[in-house]
Amino acid sequence: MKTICTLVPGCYLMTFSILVSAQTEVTTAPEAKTLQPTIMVIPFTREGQSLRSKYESDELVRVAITKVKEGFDTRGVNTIDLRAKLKQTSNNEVLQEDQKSDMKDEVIALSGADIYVEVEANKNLSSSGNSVTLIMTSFDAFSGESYSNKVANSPKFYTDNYEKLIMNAVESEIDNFLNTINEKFADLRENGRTVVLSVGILEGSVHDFDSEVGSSGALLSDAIEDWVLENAFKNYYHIQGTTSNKIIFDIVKVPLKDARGNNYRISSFAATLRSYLDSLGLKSERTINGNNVTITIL
Amino acid sequence: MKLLIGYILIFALGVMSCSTPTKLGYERTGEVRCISHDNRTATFDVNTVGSSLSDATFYAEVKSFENLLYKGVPDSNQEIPLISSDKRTESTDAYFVEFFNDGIYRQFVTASDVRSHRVSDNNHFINQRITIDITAFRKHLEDQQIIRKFGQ
Repeated sequence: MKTICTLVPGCYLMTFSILVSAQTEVTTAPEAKTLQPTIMVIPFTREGQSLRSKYESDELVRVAITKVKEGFDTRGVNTIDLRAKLKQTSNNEVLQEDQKSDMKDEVIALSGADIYVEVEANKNLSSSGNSVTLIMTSFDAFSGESYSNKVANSPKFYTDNYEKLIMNAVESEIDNFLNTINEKFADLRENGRTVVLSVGILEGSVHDFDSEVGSSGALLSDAIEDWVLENAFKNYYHIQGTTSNKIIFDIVKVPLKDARGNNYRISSFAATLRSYLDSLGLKSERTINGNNVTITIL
Repeated sequence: MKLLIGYILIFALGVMSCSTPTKLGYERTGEVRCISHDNRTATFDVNTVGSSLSDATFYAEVKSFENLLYKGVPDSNQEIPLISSDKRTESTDAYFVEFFNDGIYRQFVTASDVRSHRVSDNNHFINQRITIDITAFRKHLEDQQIIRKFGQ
């Protein structure tokens, strides 16, 4: 057997190059077990189009969704079933036909998915053969940030079996699609998610950002910035701008998971900031929309 | 005298020509081309050179795995590296040396054929077609905690 690492001088080059290239990534010490992200695969819908009707009426999309889900299964990731979730939300009477426009957001919000994948499949008919084009896009359900995008085309065949063509197209790109999601997710785990934080003063309030607060007499704006510095994941934040009655942090990093391995809730971030303001004798209100947190000091 | 110098030169040339040629070591290059892939395997054409045919075939197999691990192979189902460069540690060096030396990698090679073989100056230039079960290889690396499982 040939070896790549021996003490034979003739093998030195071989040994050296392998050792250099084997300086690899890798998990060093075992970490606390973290929960896998939850993923839901949904059809792409145009504005006002219902998820349910798209799913039920388009066989091509159903095949594509099933194949994409199969790809996740192969990687050992369980997916949330859209149909089951539609039924569940329907039973909860959340989804009425007159709420079509909001339905997708509702289903995503109620599904508890960390990531959702939109799948669009189109037939291409031509005299030289038929093919399908598949567009797969994955998003962070929390912030709407795009993770991975792939367009896959099947080869052209003289066939009407579009399901087979769609399987072909999915198989050609699904691994790379999943690899990119995985890479982005690893980056989030490492560097945290981005939250946009706006802190404002209610019109007519007696406070402003130049008011002195706390026992140290620090300016309110400085006190808030210090708090963000201490509480941002890995102390990473960025201020977009400051005015006399508003501070906008366009980047505040928060962890992906909490200490228990559950999803970090943005509401708990807002609640902690409100408690801090309360400790300074300032009452406040908060509004959360996706990854946007607005705190208004009363 | 001239005759003596001539004999010495001939002797020296003879010794040089009879000396053992330097053994060619392994070198990782990007000469790995994806020929086809499905949702589980990928087939690569690899060009390598070695001091013997068996060396060259071994290097071709190592090269195809190393490209998957550290570089990714264009137009394959593993376009990005399995192991990202920013997380390199020395702790896995030993593992990969063992992985190749002990032939563990062969578990994931579903086909390996030399397609062309040329000898020049005692060097064996080959083109080898290798099919690797990438899904099983990835699972193995996950089980060995070399890479993380999806989303973890």
